Amino acid sequence: MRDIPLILKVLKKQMTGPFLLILQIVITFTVIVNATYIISDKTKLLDIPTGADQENSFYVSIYAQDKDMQNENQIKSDMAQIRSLNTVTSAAPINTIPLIGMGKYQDLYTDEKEETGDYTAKYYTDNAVVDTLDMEILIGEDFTEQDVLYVKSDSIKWPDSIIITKAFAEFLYKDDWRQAVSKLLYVGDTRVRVKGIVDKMQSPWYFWRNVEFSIFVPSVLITEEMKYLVRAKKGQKDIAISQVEALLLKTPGRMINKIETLGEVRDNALSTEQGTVSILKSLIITLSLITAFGIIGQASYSINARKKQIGTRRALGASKLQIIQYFLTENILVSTIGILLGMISCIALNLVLVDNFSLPRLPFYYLGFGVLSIYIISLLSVLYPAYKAANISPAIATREM
Amino acid sequence: MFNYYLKLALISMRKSPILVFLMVFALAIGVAASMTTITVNYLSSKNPLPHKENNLFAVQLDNWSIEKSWREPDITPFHLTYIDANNLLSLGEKFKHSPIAQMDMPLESTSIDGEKKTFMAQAKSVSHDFFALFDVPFLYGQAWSKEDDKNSANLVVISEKTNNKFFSGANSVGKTLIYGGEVFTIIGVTKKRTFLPKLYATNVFMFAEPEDLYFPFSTQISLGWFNEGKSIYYCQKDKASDTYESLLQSECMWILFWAEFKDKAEKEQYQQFIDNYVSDQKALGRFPRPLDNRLTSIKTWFKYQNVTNKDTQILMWLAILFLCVCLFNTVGLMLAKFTGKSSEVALRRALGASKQSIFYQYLIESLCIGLCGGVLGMLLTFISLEYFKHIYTKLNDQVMTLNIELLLSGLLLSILATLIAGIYPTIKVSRTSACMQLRQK
Repeated sequence: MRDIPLILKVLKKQMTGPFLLILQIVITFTVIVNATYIISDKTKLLDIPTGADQENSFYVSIYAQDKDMQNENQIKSDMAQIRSLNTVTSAAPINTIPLIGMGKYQDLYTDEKEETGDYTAKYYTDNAVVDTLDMEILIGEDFTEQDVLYVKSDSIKWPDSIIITKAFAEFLYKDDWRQAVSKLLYVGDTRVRVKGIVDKMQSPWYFWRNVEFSIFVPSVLITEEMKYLVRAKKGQKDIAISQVEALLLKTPGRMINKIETLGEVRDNALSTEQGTVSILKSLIITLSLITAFGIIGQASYSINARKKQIGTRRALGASKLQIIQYFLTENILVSTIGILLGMISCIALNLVLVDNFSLPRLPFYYLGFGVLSIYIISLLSVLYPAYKAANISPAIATREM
Repeated sequence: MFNYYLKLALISMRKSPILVFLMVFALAIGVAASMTTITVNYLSSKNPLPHKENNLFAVQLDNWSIEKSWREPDITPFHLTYIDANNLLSLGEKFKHSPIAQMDMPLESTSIDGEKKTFMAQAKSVSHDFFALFDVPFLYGQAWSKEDDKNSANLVVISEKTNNKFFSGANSVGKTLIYGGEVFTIIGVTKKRTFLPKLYATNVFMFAEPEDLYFPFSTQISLGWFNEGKSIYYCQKDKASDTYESLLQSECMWILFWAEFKDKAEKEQYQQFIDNYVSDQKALGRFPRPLDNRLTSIKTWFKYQNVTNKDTQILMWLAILFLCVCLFNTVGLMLAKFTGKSSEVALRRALGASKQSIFYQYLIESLCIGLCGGVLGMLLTFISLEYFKHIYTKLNDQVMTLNIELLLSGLLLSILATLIAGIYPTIKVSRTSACMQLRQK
């Protein structure tokens, strides 16, 4: 502590080196804290489950070369055959898959004036969907076979009832989401009844603000391309895939466009986020290394330049420990100035990110994390040069004078 | 003199290899981080047709419902209804413009042994002007004619890739293929090219693979084709029924429309043309919103479609900050290195070297370090772009590939960076006074 006035005196004389170091620390602090925050923000996103049985489910996309080949009877017979396989728990025709990136959406309201309501993802499927997507009816009822319609195009004929996710019910009825059951919802000029509420299912778009808002419509959408969602028994997914493929190809004139597991769909959707996380991690590591090298270089340089003074101090009775202490104090002083300025620029950068990239505001405890890591980096890097300085022989003071 | 300074620089660099290595390495990493992210951002938001900046425009008609705009804050629909696309085509015959719609269907060979080659081919249905609008290069044959558009001819232009697949690269003009169960005659084969971001698409589809074939928009209509499950479409009002006829009559929007103008006058003429058209339609009770027809420039289109990925943009700014740290680091190290040389400089000064020649000598030394850093940096950029390709599987590979232009600007960046980093230490060392140093010795 008593070194501080001395250090300040020396720093004033030799400004450039410490000044450069402070700049480095300021930027390093800013980047590390913001990058860590972005990482944790993205990791949160990566950890949210879709709600489906990711492990055991897959979908088949099948294409008919003749438009009339896809019809109600064909779909019903396909489904019956798939469901009868001994490796399959459940299966349903569906127009889209959670997180696949393409699908249909719909806005629904609780009132005619369209005041309370929002956009939801719209799944066209049949009465087996709750089982197949591994959902649970929290309140209300599941679809029955009588509810199911077969339609050629969307936005014309609505069935009487739909199933919605709890997240959407909570949004519609903020006091008590259970109220939503058997209420009528307004969709343009039509009304549909909420037959049941399920625990959770994500939309086809992970980055959507309404990712948890999904509705299930008991209408099978007949298009040239059909998707069949299959939930296999535990551990039998691979067998089920080959069985379903063979079964579907029995009908001539059709081709299988794609078979993908739900795990693959999710990994594919989140691959970009995952990638950004690993890039940010390597950025943090290399940046810390560069800053550490900077500190080592700077300290070595200043020790080299002050060899004679150090030798003189040693000759006048300063212990090795005192020399080390001197350099550690100097380092802490410089780091502290860097950190204080870094906090300001860190918050500034965060505000820019909030404004331009709709990133959430930085919580303050991240600054604490930054402070800690900068101190650790800078103390570790200065240890070796300080140790070297302490080993300067006092005899050097007598030389070259 | 230059050669002599170069020699001196090399000798000096060899004397302190660790310090030089640290400087070169720090520079290289900083340059690599910045260049990698700059490459991705630059290539994914670069106009692929820069010479058509003032000629090529997307046509947007605001056919949304009266209550609110299609998308906040005031974005009008990207697509047109069939009614409007068809009317613009038939009323505006003197203009160069094209509708663009999407189809995905199986493509088969007409020969019997071609069975195995069947695949789901992505197509765009367009008018004959499309190829001129987007400068599509042809390998064989040419685009279909205006007449073919009118006759809804079963003609296709296939891509080089499709041609390689079915005809092993031979000239296939005049041969036939089966698309969606219909026989089409090939009239042209396009040459492979990098065209990213794809202007005539929306959103993430601007980075999709090039399409496998093109066929006349009028043919799609006469065949009654529409990809219900895969098309992007949205309706101002619900369709009357689920027949194809009612889709065509509906207020559902699914057709992109682009136009090209020779000059400003023609653009104004076109604006007048669509404004008149919409006013006429308003009289029929369509287009409930106030008149807002837009000819959207490529730049604005990119903004609407968010072509630059937010993540890579954030990464770019972080990487540039990273480069700054590396530069400060280099300044510090260079200062240390050059100050260590002060007695040598003092000796040279005492022997008659001017401040200027000392300045040049050390400038050349820092340039050498910059060049080394730049070369190593570009090598690292190359490696890290491969890493990017590996983890950003959903981004198109082509936006993560270096070209000469980027390579040179990377080198320039690192030399510029070292110049900035080296200038202060160089000035400082050239100010060394001769007598002070010599006296101490």
